[in-house]
Amino acid sequence: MARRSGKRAVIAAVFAALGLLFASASLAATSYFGPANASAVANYSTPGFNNRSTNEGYANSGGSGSLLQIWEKHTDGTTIGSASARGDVFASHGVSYTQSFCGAADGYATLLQCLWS
Amino acid sequence: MTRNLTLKRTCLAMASLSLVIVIVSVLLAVANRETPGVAGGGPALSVLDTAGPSLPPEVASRPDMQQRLADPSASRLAMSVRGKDIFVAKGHDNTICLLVVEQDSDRTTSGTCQDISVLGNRAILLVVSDAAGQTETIGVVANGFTSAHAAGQSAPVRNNAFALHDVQLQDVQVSGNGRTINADIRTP
Repeated sequence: MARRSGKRAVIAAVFAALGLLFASASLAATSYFGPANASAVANYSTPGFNNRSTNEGYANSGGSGSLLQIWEKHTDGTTIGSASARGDVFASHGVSYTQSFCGAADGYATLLQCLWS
Repeated sequence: MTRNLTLKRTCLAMASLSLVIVIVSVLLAVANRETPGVAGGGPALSVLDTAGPSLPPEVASRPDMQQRLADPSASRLAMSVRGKDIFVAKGHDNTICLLVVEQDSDRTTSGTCQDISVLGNRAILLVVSDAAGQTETIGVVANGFTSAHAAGQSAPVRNNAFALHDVQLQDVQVSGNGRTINADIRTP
């Protein structure tokens, strides 16, 4: 009797484990709800990336839904424009500006800046 | 005897727990797919099936577009508003990209790529601002949504896209098919 109950316990444990596995996979599918504040912006482009005549920058918070901002400025500091989005944002412009700043912010607090020349 | 009874109860409890977990998981999975899907998975975006213009060549050839987009030539112009061309494109890793191209000589372009699952119950949003600080909140939604609203302002959804002038991203709502939802993934 005890042996049979033991088998049942093992089967139930296997089912529970499978259930937990399934639940974890299901929750992972909605992972764009990340931590409230990503600790840092993960990446931004390097100076002169691939082609110096094309200026571009990007910010990505590694899957979290943090609000990121990127902006471009002339070398005299005047702003060309900016863009904000959750988790991932990028910007680029053409050949008119030989130098520009890019930046990325998490929650509008400056974390990174870069200068292309 | 008492030991057997306890063991039986434990088995029953564990089996019930696993059943509940499986049911909840299935319900969560169904909730994530409340919008009709398309071939390849994810919510439907009819703009990608239109014959509309794709990104201008001088933008499509930039390294970031080449890296981000699955095929820049398959991007589609959804709408133009206040000096901006709004494009939608498929990105890599099951993402959808929203691109805003300024109609200036330099074709300043900004964008965001988000997992397509976001469109199951939210919008992909991008806020762009100009030198004077004027903002446009631009969004992409799945098929079925017809209008966007925020702060007493309303804008139609055209080709899965909309634009609202000078509103907070967190306040945007979209409506269609008898339902209204918050567009921002962080707004409950």
